[in-house]
Amino acid sequence: MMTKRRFLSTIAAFCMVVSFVFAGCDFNEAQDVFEEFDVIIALEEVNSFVAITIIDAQSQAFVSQDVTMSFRGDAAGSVIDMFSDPVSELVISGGLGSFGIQNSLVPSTSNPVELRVVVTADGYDPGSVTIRMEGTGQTTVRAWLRRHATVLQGAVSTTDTGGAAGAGGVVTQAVTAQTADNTQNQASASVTVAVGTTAQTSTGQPATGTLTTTVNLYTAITATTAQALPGGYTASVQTSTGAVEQTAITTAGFMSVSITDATGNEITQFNPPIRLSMEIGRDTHNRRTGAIVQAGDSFEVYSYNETDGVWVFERETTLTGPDADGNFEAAFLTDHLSDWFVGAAGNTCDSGVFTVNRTGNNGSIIVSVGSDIDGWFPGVFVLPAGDNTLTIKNAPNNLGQYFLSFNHSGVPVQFINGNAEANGSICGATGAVTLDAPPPDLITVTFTFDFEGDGNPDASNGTCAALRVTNVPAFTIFVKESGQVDADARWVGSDPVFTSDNLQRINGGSLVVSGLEVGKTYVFYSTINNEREERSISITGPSMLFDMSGDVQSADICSQ
Amino acid sequence: MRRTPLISLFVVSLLLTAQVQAQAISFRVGTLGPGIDLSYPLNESLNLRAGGTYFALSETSTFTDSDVDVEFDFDIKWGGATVMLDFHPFGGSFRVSGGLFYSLIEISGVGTPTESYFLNEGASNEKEFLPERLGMLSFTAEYEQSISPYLGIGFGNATRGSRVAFLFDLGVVYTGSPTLDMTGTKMLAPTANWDTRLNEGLESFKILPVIALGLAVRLK
Repeated sequence: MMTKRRFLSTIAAFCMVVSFVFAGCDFNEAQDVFEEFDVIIALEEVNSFVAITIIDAQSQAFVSQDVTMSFRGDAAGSVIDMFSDPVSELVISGGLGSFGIQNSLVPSTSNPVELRVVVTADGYDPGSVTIRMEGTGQTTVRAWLRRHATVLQGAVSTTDTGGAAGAGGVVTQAVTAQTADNTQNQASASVTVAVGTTAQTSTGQPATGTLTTTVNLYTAITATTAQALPGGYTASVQTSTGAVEQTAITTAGFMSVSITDATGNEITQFNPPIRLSMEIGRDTHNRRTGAIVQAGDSFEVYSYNETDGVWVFERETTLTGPDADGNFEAAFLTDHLSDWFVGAAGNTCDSGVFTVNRTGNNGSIIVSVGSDIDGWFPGVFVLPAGDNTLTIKNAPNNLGQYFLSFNHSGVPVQFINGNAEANGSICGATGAVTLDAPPPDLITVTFTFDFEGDGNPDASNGTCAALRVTNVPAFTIFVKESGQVDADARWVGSDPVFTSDNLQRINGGSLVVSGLEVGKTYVFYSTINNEREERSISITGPSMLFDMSGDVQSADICSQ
Repeated sequence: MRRTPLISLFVVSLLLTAQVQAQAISFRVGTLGPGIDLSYPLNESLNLRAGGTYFALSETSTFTDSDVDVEFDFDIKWGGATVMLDFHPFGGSFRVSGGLFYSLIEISGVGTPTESYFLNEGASNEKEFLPERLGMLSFTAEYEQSISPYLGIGFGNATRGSRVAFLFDLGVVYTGSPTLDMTGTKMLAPTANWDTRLNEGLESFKILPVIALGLAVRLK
């Protein structure tokens, strides 16, 4: 009897222990977690990407038409879209776009990634921009496009219909078209097609009927016209050996010539060659001689291959003159038409280190660099927040003068050493730049991304938990003050501004922008999948919301 | 289903009991899988038992998801080696068993999408990602604590009484929580971050219940 009781007690005690242990197992929690599990599909992160703005050279606004970007050069095959798919071309809308480089390419100073982007848009002459990436992260570039049917402010143009072609494309009435003198330095450009010349299209179709000739001359002494140079001033150049290299160029002036026949065909091939000429301003600096130009100076002549975005070395030309205005003529013969520049390419150097004393200008700063008398306008680039040193790389050697200007929030703050420019070569040049203190009401604003709103299909979740991607490759944000031209928009952020939940789904983020003035309205541009979004925000304080619902909708990165 | 490698477990058990001249062999099947034990009486109420259980299973199953379905190939390895003391407090078949369990339990799987993923499906800018572009998922679940204590009760004495005895075991192995590790590739890579959350769900499951039936044959 006693044994049986002890036996039953032992079993009961053990069962109690087992029950107690099992009671600690949270089956409901386990069930909830495993029911919650789902598949997360994320776009792969892109380590190196390019943000590109396409600017109308006339209006300085973003090109509103769709722009097709075609990629050329060694790294062209590594260009990817936001989905990491290789692409040979991309269409961007709104003049602001981006693309990535495959992660297998890791740009560095010792192993830079180089490519060029040929940009075309309806109503514009083709343009291009040469890109050199020396590190991962974002590279920002701009390309200016010239409207085809509009004379760019600062340029001179003429259209002549005096020429004609007969049977076999043989010119029966000569073409002689010369622009008026420009107002900057009284320079002009001309084209002459002699009677008897055979004129054809690029496919060999003979010209016929009236020949309409248009000549444009863009001086290189002002940035506004100089920016219209296809490819920019750090360009891809095909040298006399046939090799294509990225290098700096200086232009004593450039011109574009187009001839169409009675059927509207572009006539580009001529036999024998036709004569082009452009006048070189009397104050132009000749890098070869290190002095102001004079008769007998030699300059290089390049034509633009718009298909590949490459300036092709054609020949050397010798200046003649001066004329009554003191300018010199650079004339040359050619059997084809294109854009042409007279100047020099190659022979580059780096500057020394310029030290920037920010004086409270803590945000990113737009830096412009160039040389008026040498015809060198490489454009603008951004000195990132926190960076106080500046080195100009791959600049042309033997410049006669250069300038650096610093633009913060649209307001030029100061020039180097208090002057707009410095004489002499930029090679090895150093200096200290002290920026003016920003206005006292300039503040740094932290914007918190708000994914809620009508555009977000999952707004009820509050944090857009429906986002099925963990990052948005090549996402980029620019800002400009309302009323400024689009070309003044500065880059202020990219993909890393997003934050993710514990499953790495984007659920928010923030953007810190310095140099914003309380009470003023700023326009923010962002691009996802090459669709430009914009919103105007009036600055009210250091902490604000940034509506992302429209971006999310347009990018289609929420679950539907 | 693959044939269970009982032979290898038998060898393990044999080695463990070789020094003590086993007097009984028993065959069990239960929640730790099928297995074999060798028993040796230490005294009238205490037996030493060593053995093991094991089975393996390969299975394919499809996880249905709102975005893409993923087909998983599972490999289940279940069982382990045991060293037990069977205490018969009343001299009969009832016993209290305690010992150590060396876990060989591992569940692993590799999952690949069976269909494309369509971003913004049906819209003009629909984007298709083929299964091979999406990548794959893999996971392994196992007990980090490879040696765990066992406590249980049972009926049947392998070394005493009739030559053939029926065995019944009821007990628990304190394994600690299982650990799930997930990895993902390509576009599925972030899915692997679920393992943290899944492990939270498994956190409270620190014991493994044992119920087994068996048959013992006395050798001497």
